[in-house]
Amino acid sequence: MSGRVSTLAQVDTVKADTALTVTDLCVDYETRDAVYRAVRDVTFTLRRGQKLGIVGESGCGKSTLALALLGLLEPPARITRGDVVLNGVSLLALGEGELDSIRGRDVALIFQDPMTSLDPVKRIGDQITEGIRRHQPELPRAQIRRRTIELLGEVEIPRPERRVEDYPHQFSGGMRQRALIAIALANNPSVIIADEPTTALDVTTQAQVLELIHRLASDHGAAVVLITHNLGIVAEFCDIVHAMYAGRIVESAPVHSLFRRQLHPYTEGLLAAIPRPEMRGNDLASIPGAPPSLAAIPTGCPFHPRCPVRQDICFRVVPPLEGVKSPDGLLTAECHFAADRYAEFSG
Amino acid sequence: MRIASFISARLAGALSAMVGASFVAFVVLRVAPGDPARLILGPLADRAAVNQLRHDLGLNGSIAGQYWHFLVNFCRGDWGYSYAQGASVSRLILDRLPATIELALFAFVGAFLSAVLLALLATYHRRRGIDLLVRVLSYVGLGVPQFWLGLVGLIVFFKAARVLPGPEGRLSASASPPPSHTGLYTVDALISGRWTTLGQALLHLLLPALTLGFPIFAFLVRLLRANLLDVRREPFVLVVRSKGIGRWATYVRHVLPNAFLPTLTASGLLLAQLIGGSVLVESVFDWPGLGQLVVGSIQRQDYSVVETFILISAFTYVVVTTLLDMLYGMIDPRVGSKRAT
Repeated sequence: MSGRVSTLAQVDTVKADTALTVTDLCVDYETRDAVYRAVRDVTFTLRRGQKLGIVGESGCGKSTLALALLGLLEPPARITRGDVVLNGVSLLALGEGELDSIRGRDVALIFQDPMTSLDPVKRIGDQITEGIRRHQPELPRAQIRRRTIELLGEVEIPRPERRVEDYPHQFSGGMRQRALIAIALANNPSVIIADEPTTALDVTTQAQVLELIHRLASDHGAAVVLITHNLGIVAEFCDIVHAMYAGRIVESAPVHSLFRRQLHPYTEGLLAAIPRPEMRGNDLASIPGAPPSLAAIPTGCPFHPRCPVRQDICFRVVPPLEGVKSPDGLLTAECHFAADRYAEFSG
Repeated sequence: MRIASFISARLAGALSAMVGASFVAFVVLRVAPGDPARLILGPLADRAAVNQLRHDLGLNGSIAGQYWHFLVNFCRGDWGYSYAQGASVSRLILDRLPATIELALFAFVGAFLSAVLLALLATYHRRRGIDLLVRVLSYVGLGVPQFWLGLVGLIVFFKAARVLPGPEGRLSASASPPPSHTGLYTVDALISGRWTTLGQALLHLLLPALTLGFPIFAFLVRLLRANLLDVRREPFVLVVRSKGIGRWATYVRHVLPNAFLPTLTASGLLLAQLIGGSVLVESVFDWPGLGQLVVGSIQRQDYSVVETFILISAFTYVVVTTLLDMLYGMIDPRVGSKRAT
């Protein structure tokens, strides 16, 4: 770590209002023949109530990261280095049973595909109740049921006292995602991991669900890690953005800064790929090429084969994390030209 | 309202299946070559006597008329008379049904419970050892002929080790059966408190039930194992885990119920098939069940026994599948429900 610029994370760890700290996290998939590193040295800090976005293309390690934060990785995936500290407790030091008692109480999950994320043969109400009873077994039955109906009401399911008896197939996709939000909120967790929570929904529902997560997380005092491929969603939702590429966080910045200046060409590409009405008639912008396979991470800067502004150095040298102090706060990027790019944007 | 119409639709389907089965049973056997009157009286009887008997048996009437008589008599419980065996069909069948049912139940319950348990263990830990054992067992069970397995069992446990009784049916010839309440020796012995008889009956059941149940176990464990492996990859399993529910609880409460439906269907059909008796296993163990009776009757063209047997098997299938459908509706809310938002 010496010689590197301190990151946003390390600056913030000092503060006591930290909900989640991730330090140098590495996740490997170990097969019989080889080891693939899906998450590489990921470091960030989530303050209480903060909304943090992790953006990247498919296959960049986002979902693996999400499961790692919940301690839910199953073999062959395994955390091989680093630490995840939730409310001062290191998840890696916990046994299976202790992890179970933290999941759903301190950290909860909102998952990508609402159509397959609910147990099809159990009532919606029972699926919410299950989580409450797990962590608050002392509550009387009637009270748990009241709380369940209340939660369904909070996620704006109409007539929750009747819908509580329904099965998932009687709910639309948007309603199922709301039910999943209710499940996540059931025990007032301090951190919610939302992995592509709106990707499977249609556009109008997306906005409503996103707005709902934002408002309810704030009401319940929960911090959110929003994992998405869609920078547009991040713009509306997040305070801080981390862009992820080939398992690494390659750029971090407060959201309002990121949309003004992108220190990493990858982030610039992601931003350019958001369709805009004024670009109508032109071809949709995209980043050329495909994200690298874990089996063949390029030498030097992992992004160089697709980078429009690469130089000779990018082929050979892994870029260090460069930090730039801006009026918006500390910006960091793993690009050889981060400082130059900052100067360009400012000048 | 919804449930009522679901059930009545099922019952109508069940009834039409029964009528179809009775029709097939009747026509196929009547159209088959061979003259039962000639068979009863033997090759030396004169033509007049044969014709007289054909008339008495109702074999000279129209096929439709015969079918109608057959249906009416069947519903009245008059299942005809077996000249070949000199006893009423109902007597013949009811004598043998309990032996078949007792064997079928022991074989099925054993196979079903061990299949569920082993499928759970094999997939839960992903330990190669248990999984390999289960897969080998299921290949053996599906691949090896039953009668051979039964014979090997007899050679090992009766002839060599002398720990289990030989092929002598439900009890040793020297033992007297318990007073009859249900016809199932184990249950009757239990009711009348005859503990030695109970033990004997169980010992006699062990090898035949294992032989009969092994292929069923093999089939069910394979099916359930595959379905468990599918369901545990479903995203909802991760969501359940994210609530803090432990691995085993998640497995039993959520993965198993979702993986179970195909196994339930298969189990029902296999059980119905068992009630029909098994010729090979019954022959090997000299078990006085339905299978041997029916095969003998087919060879003797003893129409009335075979017809009754076909109808009873059809009835069993229909009852079992109807019950299964209703059970399905209870376990899987998506069955029989059209309402969606």
